[in-house]
Amino acid sequence: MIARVKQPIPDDAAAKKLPYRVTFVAMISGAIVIALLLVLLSMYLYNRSGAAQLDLSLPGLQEQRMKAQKTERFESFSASGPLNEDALDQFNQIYTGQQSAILQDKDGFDPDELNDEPLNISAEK
Amino acid sequence: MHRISLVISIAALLLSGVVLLAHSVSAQSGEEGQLQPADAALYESVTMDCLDVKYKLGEIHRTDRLLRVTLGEGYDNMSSNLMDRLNSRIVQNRLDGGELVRIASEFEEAHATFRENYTEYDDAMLDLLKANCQSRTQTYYLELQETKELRRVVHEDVGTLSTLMQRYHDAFKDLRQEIERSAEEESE
Repeated sequence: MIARVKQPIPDDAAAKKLPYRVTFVAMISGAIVIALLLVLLSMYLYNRSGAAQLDLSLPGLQEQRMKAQKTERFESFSASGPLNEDALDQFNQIYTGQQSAILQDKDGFDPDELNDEPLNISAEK
Repeated sequence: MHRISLVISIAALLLSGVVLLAHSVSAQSGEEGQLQPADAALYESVTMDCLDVKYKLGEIHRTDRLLRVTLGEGYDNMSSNLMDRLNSRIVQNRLDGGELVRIASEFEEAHATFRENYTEYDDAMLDLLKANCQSRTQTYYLELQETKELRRVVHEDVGTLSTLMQRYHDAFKDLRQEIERSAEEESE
């Protein structure tokens, strides 16, 4: 069995090879920077896509979250089948029920809620 | 060796700091301070309890969030689980549902418009909640008026969608009468 002897690396080759510590630091720093950039990108997409407006998991929205969970399961209408009297009745029942539920909020986003009086603001022109 | 690792670490930290700073600056509201002298004629004085106004705006914003989720879910059900399915069934049964398809398409467009307008309104409301109203009362009041206008647009979108839902139901009733009339003629 031939014993292998580790040969010392010549000086010029040693100069070309980066020390292990430098590559390690560069790797860690690069990983941190890439992670940070990806977080910023995901937050940008989260806001721009509209998901932020539908997110009730944010702090301070617990009451709204509980109210949203109380909504009843929606009975859907089949996309196939004959359009007989029973099917038309079923559709009419589901549709009017859903329409009534939505119309309960037909006065939603009333701009008058941002008037001076409700906010107790006094502005003179 | 140590110098290179130090340079790399500093460069990484500087880059992270620049990115974070850019993000925080872009998240802030616009111009600081009071109105310019040319704008002073709009409102001579604006008096408000800043904390009280922000608290009420926060309450309104929380209510709006729930309403947006509720309405969004309702409109999605209307569009995909009801209108689209009935239209598909009409086509399968070789019936004339052109009006229903047209209204469903209008509803989908109106829904998309509602989503866009709400996003714009919500962004404006969030800016108001984060802005400083203690030292820039007049500017804050003007921004509040702009947000109110955006809210009015969203309110109109809700009205449009309600109208389209009713139109679809009316067209459905007309179709139903036609189907029943055809069935009676066939039985005779």
